[in-house]
Parts: sequence; C-alpha cells; structure tokens
Amino acid sequence: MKQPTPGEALLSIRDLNIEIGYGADKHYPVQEVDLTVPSRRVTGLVGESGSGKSLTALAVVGMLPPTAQQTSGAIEFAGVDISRALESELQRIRGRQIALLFQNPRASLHPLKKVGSQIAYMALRHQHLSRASAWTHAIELMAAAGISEPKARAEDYPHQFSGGMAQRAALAMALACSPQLLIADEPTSGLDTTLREQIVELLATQVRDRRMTVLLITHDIGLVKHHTDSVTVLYAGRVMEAGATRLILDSPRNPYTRELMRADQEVHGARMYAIPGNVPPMLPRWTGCPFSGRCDLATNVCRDVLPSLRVIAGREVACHHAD
Amino acid sequence: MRVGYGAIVVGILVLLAALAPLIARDPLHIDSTATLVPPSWAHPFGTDQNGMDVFARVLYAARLDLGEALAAAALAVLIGVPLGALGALAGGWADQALLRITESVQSFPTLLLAMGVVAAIGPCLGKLVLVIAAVNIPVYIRLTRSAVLPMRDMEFIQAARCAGLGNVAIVTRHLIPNIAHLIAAQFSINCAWAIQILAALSFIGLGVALPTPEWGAMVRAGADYTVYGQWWVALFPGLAIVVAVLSLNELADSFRHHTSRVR
Amino acid sequence: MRTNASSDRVALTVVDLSKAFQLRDAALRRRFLRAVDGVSFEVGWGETFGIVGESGSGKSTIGKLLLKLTNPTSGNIILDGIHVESMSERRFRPFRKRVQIVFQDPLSAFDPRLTVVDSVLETLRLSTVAPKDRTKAIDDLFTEVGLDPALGRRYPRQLSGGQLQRASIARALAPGPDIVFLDEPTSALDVSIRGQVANVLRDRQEQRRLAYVLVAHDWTVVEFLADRIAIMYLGEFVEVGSRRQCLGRPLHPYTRALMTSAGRIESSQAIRLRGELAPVAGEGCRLAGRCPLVQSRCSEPQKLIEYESGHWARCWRAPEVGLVQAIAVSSGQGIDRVRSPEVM
Repeated sequence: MKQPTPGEALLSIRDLNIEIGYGADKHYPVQEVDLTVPSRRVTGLVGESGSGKSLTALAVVGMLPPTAQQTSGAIEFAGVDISRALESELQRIRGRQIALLFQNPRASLHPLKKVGSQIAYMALRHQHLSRASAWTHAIELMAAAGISEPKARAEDYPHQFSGGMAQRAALAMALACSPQLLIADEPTSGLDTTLREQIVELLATQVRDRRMTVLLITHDIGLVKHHTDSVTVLYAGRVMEAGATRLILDSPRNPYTRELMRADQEVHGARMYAIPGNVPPMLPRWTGCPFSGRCDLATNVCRDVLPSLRVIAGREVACHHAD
Repeated sequence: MRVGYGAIVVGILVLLAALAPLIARDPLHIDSTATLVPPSWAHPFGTDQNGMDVFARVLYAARLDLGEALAAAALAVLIGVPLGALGALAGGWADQALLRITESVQSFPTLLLAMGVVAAIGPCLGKLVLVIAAVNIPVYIRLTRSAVLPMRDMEFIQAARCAGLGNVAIVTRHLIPNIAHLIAAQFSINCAWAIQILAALSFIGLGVALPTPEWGAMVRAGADYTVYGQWWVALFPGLAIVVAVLSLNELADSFRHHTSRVR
Repeated sequence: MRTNASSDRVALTVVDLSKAFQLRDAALRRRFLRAVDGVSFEVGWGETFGIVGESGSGKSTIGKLLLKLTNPTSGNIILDGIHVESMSERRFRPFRKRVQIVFQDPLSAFDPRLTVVDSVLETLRLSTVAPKDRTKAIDDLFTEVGLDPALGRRYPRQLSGGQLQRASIARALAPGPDIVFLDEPTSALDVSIRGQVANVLRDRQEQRRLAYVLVAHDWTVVEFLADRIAIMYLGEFVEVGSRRQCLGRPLHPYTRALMTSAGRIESSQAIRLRGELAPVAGEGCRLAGRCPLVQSRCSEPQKLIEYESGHWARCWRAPEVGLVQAIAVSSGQGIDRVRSPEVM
C-alpha cells in the first residue's frame, strides 16, 4: 500500500452500485456513487434517510448486510482496489488501517468486558504489544478521547458509561491501532447537542495529532459546516454535489443542497420551510434526476435524462440547471 | 408466510387422521388367520400379533395422539397466555405471584410428574390431557411474559392507554397479535412434546391400554417382535411418531421466521 | 401573526409537580431520583409552552405525568380548572379525550399489525362521533393534516416518517382534545421535512385553539411554535420566559450553553460546560459542577428569580450574564411566573 501525500486521495470510490433484495422486492439504495476522501483531511458525506450514505460506508469495508450486493464499482484504498478483496484481507484492514465509529456507541462495546480491556485488545491483536503496554496505551487513548479519570474508567463496564462517554470509549477503541482512515457514521446522533460539538472537534484534533483521515457521515448539515474540508451530498442514492465545504455551503449549485440548507435554517413567521414530498422508501433505478419530483426548477429534461456529475464553478454537481 | 415442509406434512397427518374411517379398515378387527403378516397390498403396513391391521391402527392412533396433543396444548395456551400477558402488563404483586407459581411447577421433572399423577389417578385419557396441559401452562406464562415485558413501554402501548384502553383490551388487541407467531411456534413444539410424552407413558405401560391403538403402546407391543424379524409391527408406529414430531418442529420454525417479514 | 390568548381560564396549570423514582444502585443502596422536581407552569388556550432540555432533564416524564401514564409523587395537575393529579384511572377516563400526546418516533407509536386507520380509530372512539360517521371523520382528519386518506389503509411501515408523524397528529386530534403534549414531534424526522409536521401543528392549533406542551431540543422548532419557553435541567426549570425573552436574552448559563452548541449565540456571549450530565447530590445549583461561572455561593439552594416581568432564571449571576436586575424571587411553591402580557 502506498502512502498518499496529504491532500491526495486516500480512499477513492468510483461508480459504486448496490442492490438489495430479489425479484419484485429489489431496490437500489446506492447508484453510481463517486466519493473521494483526501488524506489527512476531514471529508463529509451528507444525506438524509434513504440517501445511501451508510451503505456506502459499509461497502468500503465489505460489511454490507446479507441481502445487499455491490454490483459494480471500484473502491481504492491507498492505491489498492479492495472492492474485490477476500474476507481475510479485509479483516487485516478493518480496525488496523480503516477504523469505524457507529451511531450507537453501546452497540460497539461488549457489555460484559471492561472498557479498558476492549480497547487494549485492539492494540494487542493488531499491534502485538505486551499486555501491560497495551493497557497503558488504552488509558492514554481514553484520555485523548476526553474521558476524565481514565485509569478508573478503564476498569468500568460499558453500562456504567453515559452515552457521551461510551462514544468516546468507542472512539478510543477505533484509534487504538492508529488507523489511516476513520469512518464515523452519524457519531453524534442520539447524543445531546452540547456533546456533538465536543465529539466532532475531537475527531478534527485526531486528524491533526495522529495524521489521520476522517470520513464523517451525517444528516446534519450544520455539523459539516464547521468541521469538514470537503463534502459530498447524497440524495436517494445518487451524488448531487461534491467539493470544498466552504464553496458548496456558501453557494450551492444543486437545488437539493440549497433546499436542504434552507430547511435547516428558515423560519418565516407562520411557516417553517420544508421540502414538499418525500423520498420513496425503496428506490427504483433512476432514469431521470431523483429530485425532479420535488424540485421547483424541474423541467422535462430533468425527469427524462439522468444528470451526470460535471465540474461547474469549482465543484462537481449533478443538475441540468446548475449554471 | 411461506408454506414449509412442516405445514404440509402436519396437514397430511391431520387429514389422514380425520379420514381414517374412510381410508382404513376397522383397527380392532381381529383376523387370527393373518397374524404377523408382512406388508402387502392387503395390509400396507402388515398385521400385528393379534391379526389387526397395522395401517389402520397407525391411522386411528393418529386421531388419538394428535387429538390429545392438540387438546392439551390448546388448553395450556388458553390459560397460560392471558395470565402471562396480564401479569406482565400489570406488574407488581400479580406478576411476582405468577412467577413464583411457575417456578414451583417447573421445578418438577415433567415426565416424573406425569408418571406420578397417572400412577395415582389411573391412566384415564381425559386426565392425561389435563396433566399435560397443566405442566405446560407455566411454559406459556413465561413465554408470554418475556415477550410482553419489552413491549410494555413501547409507545403504541402507551398510545393505547391514552386512548382509554384497559389492561384486558391492550392484551387482546395489541399484545397477543404481536406475539401470536411466538405462541404458535411454542404450540407446535408443545404438540410434538405432548405426543412424545404420551408415547413414552404408553411405552412404559402407564398410558393407553391395549387394544386401543396408540403409537407408543404399539411400539411397545411390537418391540419384542422386532428381534424375530417382524420389523413392521414396531417400525410404522415409531416412524409415525418421528414424522409427527419432526414436522411439528419444522412448523414451529416457520412460525418463528414469520416475524422477520413484517407486513 | 400570533394573537394574545384571551380567555379567562387557562387550559392547563401545573403546580409544584414532582416525580421521584426509587432506585437501587450497584451496592443495593436506595437512592431517590427526582426526575421532575417541583415544576410549575400554565398554558392558555391556543398557546404553546415549550420545554427545552437534554436527555435526563425529565421533560419526557412531564408528558407521562400529564397523560396519567404514571402518577406524580406530589404536586397538582389542573385541567381546565379540575384537579386530576390523584384521580384513579376510572375517574380520569372521561378526561382522556381532552388530553392527547404525539410521540417522538412515529414508527414505534403505531401498532405494526394494525393499519393506520385502525390505530386512529382507537382514539376516535373516545369522541362522540357515531360509528356510521367514523369513516368520514377519519378522512376529514387526514385531510386536515395534509394526508391522502387512502394512505390510511396502509400499514405503518409503508408510510414515510413525515407521513406517519402526521398520522400520529391525526390520531391525537381525533377525540377533539383541548391539550396536546408534543414529545419531540420532529426529532425523528429529516431536517428537510420537519417543517411539514411543524406547519401542520401550527395550523391545527390556530384552528382548534389547542394548548400545546412542546418538548424539544431543536431551537428552530421551539422558536416556531412556542409562546413561552422553559429550559429544564435535571428535573428543574432553570429559566422560564416568553419566546422573545428566552431567545433574545438568555439569562441562565445552561440556556446559553445550549444555544452556543446550536450556534445561536455570538462568541462573546458563548458559554461551554465542562464534563457530562450526571446526577447531583446536595442542595446547591445542579449545574455547579459543570458551570464556568461557579462560585461558592452556588452551593446554596437556588431559587427562580424574576429578572424581567415574566422572565425567571435560577441563577444569582444572571445579572452579569444578561445585564438585568432582579425583580422578585419565587417562594419555591406556586406558579413561578406571572402571565406576561406580551406573548410575542
């Protein structure tokens, strides 16, 4: 595996397609998704429910649910295509080079093992440290993750941790092997607002201090505003817009991005803004723009022709009316 | 719900049992000239030591075994499920009392308990059904209770309370339909177990008396003859037990899998 | 534009409401957890009282108390002038059609085995609508909340989050209630559609003069719907005031901390808390362990202090924070607010 230079792509997904189910129940949650995660940066993947963002993340590490299938696409990590890798190769990569942080921290922690042991175990297994040094390493990681009194907390069990602390512990576990890439899927959902900032700032710190790369997956556009360098916006399985965060959020070119931001902030007296309509629960293979049914700029070409990702005004955008 | 082997086989068994009088000859008819005849066109399963047609006896025994099993299991369900659901929903001392009672009953080894009762009051068929049902009531109380407990605090149950529904209404309208597949699975397994218990009791002589056709009793009677090469007397009733038990278990499985396909 | 609530009677009054749970910790010692501790407020017809707090604040417990899903340890709940706090279920039954609830997660709020219509029928039966008119009544309800009546015949899983939450509102409105408790009605919905539900709630309130108690952590929704706001921490109200007062000049450090995380406060006013939410022993301010403004006086019991007419805060340092003077200190019992003349 070659080490990319900072800013060069560490993870590169091209033309990812995922299908779920068989026969009449088949649907297409991810369609032709491209995603670039540059090294030593925080990249955001933004989408609401049904956008396909979580499945994209799972596809990277080969952990799709049993009924889901990746039907095409290349996933390149540090120069190597891992989309067709064997399970044994993937096991070496998971945890060691690509670490994952999920939404429900308690689900990531073994309820019957001490927190310290679980973190130390990662170091033991992947880095072959001695027991004693693995334990010390675990305590250091817990401190870095912002857990106060880490020595005492390492002896506790997960049920004694609050939601926020459990997420920090899960983060410490993810960092145990100094992974190159950390994929955080909605790491702050279900946590209180005061904690959200802290956790995401923690992730940004890790990028600096540990020379890591972070892919932050979230539905919260406010979260990406301040903490990501670049962002990709997904809607109903397809990429709508991708590029530098500042650029996209200040001047969005895709109507969905614009509407998303509008709904996030706009309150006009008697009306709170919402995008009319909804995303279908099982996505068909789109033959036109997926947002055309809800977009007020939509014309016939939007419904009949799939917009492809083009470079416009310094970012990639999929929309017939982006200019 | 995809129809699996279990449902089909159980269905066939029930059908055969029901139609026994039309398909087979009199199971009690003794033909002393045709004792221990191997399987043939006239006697598909052969005849036993009394000259009675094994095929007919197996079929008629199905009525008894399946009927007993169904009755016992149904009785246990009718008493155990509402008790378990109400107890779990109400909580407090009612729940605790139920738990203590189930623990006491379940601490007895069931076969011994059944044997003891039968030895005490005699092998009357009706009483056997009651005994088997009684022994199974705690199973349903606990099963229902553990299924209902996590549902108790779910929002749609709270919504039902806010709509003024009382405990009984919540149990019938919301709880039982949502756990029906679990009860059905347990019911199936129960029937299989009841057949086994009945066969076991009859096998050791405490169940149904000859000449009434019953699978376990038939196996016992025919076991001696196997040594002499007359394998059919014991094999067919034994096979019937195996087929019934396996298919009921398979049916239980398909009830359980039903849950993953929510409407 | 919101108009002033004009009736002479309020829809709901809560006085000094408390709910304590008895817990056994790991060492089997008994500990009392006061999930709701001496909370008081009033809601008028057509008004919304918003309660903002994080998990563990006790806000959802208030809902359970108002809906009589659990009984209070002490305090009064007065619906339209009648005390209901110690009513048995049987005596309270006639009130059930007058107070309803909308739950946070629409998917778990519906029985998965019933069609949506059947679930709505459940509460409709509390009303006086005759059985033969019920189908029409439900169709009308669906139209009121912006749902195609045909969706009613589907199962909950077949509706989107926004549609199902609107069905939840239809179910709450079916018996014709006066008071609706909204437990984080938009939290489980995507940002782009929470407005759909919020708009429906607002419209229905105007049309039916409903009193809402709104629990939320989303400031946008609170700003949109609430007339008066209370911020709740570990069972107590730490600040109470009108929407304009609380949003425009938050007094309590906790309120400021919440608004800082939500990006609603300029950096000069920003406050960040240390540590985590944890149960607190002792009589002093419950935020003391985390507050950057803590001083020794904070270990004394803190009362709600009125700093402006109708704007109260449980912090003696509020004057420095919000540049106001104290007007009155609450007695600790009774209603901790004066009905402020300005509702905007």
